[in-house]
Amino acid sequence: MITIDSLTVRYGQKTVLDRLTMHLTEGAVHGLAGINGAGKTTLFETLFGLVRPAAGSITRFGRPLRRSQIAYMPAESFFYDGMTGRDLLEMTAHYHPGTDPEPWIDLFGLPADQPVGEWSAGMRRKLALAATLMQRKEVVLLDEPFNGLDMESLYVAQRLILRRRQEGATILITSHLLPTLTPVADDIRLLDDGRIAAEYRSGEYSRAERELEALFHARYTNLFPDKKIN
Amino acid sequence: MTLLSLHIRLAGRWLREVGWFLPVVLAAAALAAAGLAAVARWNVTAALLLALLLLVQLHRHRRDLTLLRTTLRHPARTLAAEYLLLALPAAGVVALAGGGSETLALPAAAPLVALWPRRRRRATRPLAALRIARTGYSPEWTAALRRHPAAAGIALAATLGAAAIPWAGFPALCLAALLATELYARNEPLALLLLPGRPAARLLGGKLLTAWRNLFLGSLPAAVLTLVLYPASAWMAAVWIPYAALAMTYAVLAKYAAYDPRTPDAAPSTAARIGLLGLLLPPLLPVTLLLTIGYAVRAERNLDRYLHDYD
Repeated sequence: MITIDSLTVRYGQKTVLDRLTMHLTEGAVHGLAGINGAGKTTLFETLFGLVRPAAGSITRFGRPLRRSQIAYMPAESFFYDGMTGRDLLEMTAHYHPGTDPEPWIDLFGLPADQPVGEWSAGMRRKLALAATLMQRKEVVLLDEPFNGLDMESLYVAQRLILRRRQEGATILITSHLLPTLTPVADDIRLLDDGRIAAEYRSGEYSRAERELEALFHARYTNLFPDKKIN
Repeated sequence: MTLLSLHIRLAGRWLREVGWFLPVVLAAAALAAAGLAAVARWNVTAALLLALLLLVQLHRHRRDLTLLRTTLRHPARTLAAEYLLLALPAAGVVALAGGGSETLALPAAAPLVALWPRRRRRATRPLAALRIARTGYSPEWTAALRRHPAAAGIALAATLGAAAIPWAGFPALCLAALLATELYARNEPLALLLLPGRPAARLLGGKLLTAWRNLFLGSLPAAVLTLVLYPASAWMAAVWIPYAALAMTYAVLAKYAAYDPRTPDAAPSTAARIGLLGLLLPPLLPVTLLLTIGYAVRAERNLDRYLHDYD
């Protein structure tokens, strides 16, 4: 069990995460949804140890969660102009022995021998996802992994995540779009203004979508008085 | 605000940043002017072409072109005026060095540089045989060799050619080492930095060893050729080896002292550039050595932010 207890992160005067508490069961896929600026990326950076929290703790089986246990895919990935996808995957395989880059290249149909600078954003996302899942760490943090993916790649990415879950990894995924999480997540938490606003189990996702729509309608009722958009 | 006033403001800011290194900067500018004057005394046309070539390179590699073209009402006219202004000092130097009326060709041609076509990203053909394992898993060297295979080939050919000239082999290798510092100009993404899973000191040590490995392996053919053709110049190797090692050490440490994954195209600070000057001007070498030590401490501290767990 990964326990995030009263986690608080501040950037200057602004509190980005406000006494956030979560319990993440091992070997499951946990979704984290929220609007832009809700604190999803900050939470991941704090989990990964890139940001020092002002208060709170992150533990796994009672011990501090170490970076060496985590494979992390940041929200924005860029690569050295001139590197190819094969370079990155071979480098990953070099530092994580026992992994073979070739199946990953075939899986996503990546133009592995072309410079990454010539790839589309979606292709780079697939490469970043492949390089992260290759690392076979116990905890996997995927920050907006589905951004820019086409329908087929989304299907493949979701299946790969489920396969990692079957292998025992604990996976936390963020997305600003709820429908991309519902096919894979065992539970989804809504992050709003640095706090967990709601939590849904698998089977409750249609309720989540209704409640979110009601929330947004309440916020924008002056601008969009009609309930339905035709 | 006009573009000219913006440039003046930025120049003023840069001068304040340079501070007491200003005499060094002025000395470097004087050296460049003296070099141009020397070329002009030898051949005026060559000097004018050299100045024009530098202008063309500035135009091709400047990063604000898109911003200017989307912001200015008449970007081509503004750029033309800018290049005319830049050409005037060079034309003055050539004229003082004995260039006659042909010096006027430079300010006449300079505005036309603004019409030079923008450098398009060509579909690169990465060296198929260059697997990243061959560069010691260095993303810097791999990316650069793939991006600029012609430049790498020319550098290799030039050092081999210099090896055939008496006493030129090892100085050429020193220059090649200086050029190789460009490989450490860009900040790699955080994901690449974290991949080895090493703490800061070990990561820096690994980067340094890889840099030295790649540089000396690449220099080996020219070094061996020089020793074979001119064994009497073997003593120069005792200067080249530490010089090249220092150049790479400086480049690696300066990069990671200022490393910020959010800025992939971070321009080196003025102090870092002046430290590099020390590798060209021997009186400034102590500055380079001091900066290297300072950067070593700063690099480890900076990388700790990204590599260490917070407990």
